[in-house]
Amino acid sequence: MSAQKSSSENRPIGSGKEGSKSEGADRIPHETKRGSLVVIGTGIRIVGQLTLEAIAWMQIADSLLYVVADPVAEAVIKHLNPTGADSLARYYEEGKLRIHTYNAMVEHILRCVRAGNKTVAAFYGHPGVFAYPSHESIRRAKSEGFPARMLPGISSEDCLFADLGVDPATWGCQSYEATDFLLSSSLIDPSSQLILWQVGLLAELTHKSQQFDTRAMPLLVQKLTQFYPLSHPVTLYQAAMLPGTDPLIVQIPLYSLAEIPITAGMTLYIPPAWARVPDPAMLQLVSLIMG
Amino acid sequence: MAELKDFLAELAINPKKLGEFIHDPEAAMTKAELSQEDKAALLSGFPSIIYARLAGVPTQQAFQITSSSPIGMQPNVTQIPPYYPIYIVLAPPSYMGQPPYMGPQAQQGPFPYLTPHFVWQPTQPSGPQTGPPQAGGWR
Repeated sequence: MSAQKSSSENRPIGSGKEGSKSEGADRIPHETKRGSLVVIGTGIRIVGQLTLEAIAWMQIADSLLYVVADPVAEAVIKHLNPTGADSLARYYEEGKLRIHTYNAMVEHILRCVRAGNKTVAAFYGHPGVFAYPSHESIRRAKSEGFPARMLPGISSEDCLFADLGVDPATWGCQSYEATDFLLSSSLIDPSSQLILWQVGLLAELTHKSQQFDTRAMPLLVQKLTQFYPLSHPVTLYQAAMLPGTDPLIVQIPLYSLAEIPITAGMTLYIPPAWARVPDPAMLQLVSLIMG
Repeated sequence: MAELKDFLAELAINPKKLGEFIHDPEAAMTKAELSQEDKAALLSGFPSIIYARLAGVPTQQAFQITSSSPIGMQPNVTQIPPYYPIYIVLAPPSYMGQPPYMGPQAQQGPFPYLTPHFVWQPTQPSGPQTGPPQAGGWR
């Protein structure tokens, strides 16, 4: 990176350039070194989606723990905080239950907070969207009396709305984790949009370093056909992660969903299949009230 | 000569340089003294080629990565009939200009790997919304 500066030189204006790293930044008295936690998101494409606030927090952190998806994001994090940056990706192991991995990450984050560090945990995308360790670490930090909060980031869903040109307000939008949708008995409304996340991880609870098992996909298709015609167009989507590249947007008929390879980063978007039906009774009630 | 990874990382934290890159990518890369190989990779629009270069894969090899993407040959939005052939071999590099554009099909190389942060667990949510859908709610 051409602008190789020290961590202190990169700090935002007013953050305490002379070394008082914790002063004022999180409203914690300087003299009482007390651990704190801020969880941030780096966006899906770090080039262009990293917020100023996230940059500032990463620079002033004592411990900057991160789980990111690409080497550019890692380079940015290490540049912003060369001494405090520490990857949590080592907790992923082949075949290991992912919940164990996430709990190990939470424990690591909490250890840093308990040690009195101004701790920042960075996750790709939005740190509160499909991110168990971020929510859980904040919940536990708060329960132990530490200040903890989350800053929003740009999520896959944000990118999806932009890239597919769809608006959740137009027909309404339902959003489920794919395995949750498959295994639950909840009904959906096919006159609304449906987004199924982690469709490439369907019924897969362990970590795989390359390709996840998608043998359950025919069951998902079978369930979806309770609500949609087999020929209904669906879209597989993955946001672009690098500048100058395009998002992955694949339109297929529903029946071929189980026929093509689907990767862990893909999201399934299903447009409405039926028109909305107005509720005449409610329309009448509203007109009586509103005139 | 700047490294590709450092160049991209700089774009992430420097809005002025990102603006220059958006306005004129070639000029921005030339100004940063990126190698011709890295310029070609970044201009290719293929994530797998860019990730290969970021991982230090030699240029020629990076441009010959076979993608296992399910995508067809159209840019951006692709409609795939069932049983479409899924293996695509990218063209060799041409440093005189941008390689032939083949759409976003190189997304699925071995490098861009989104490690998930969430796993479904068989637990019930708490709070007032745990009951069954009310009449007139869903359908």
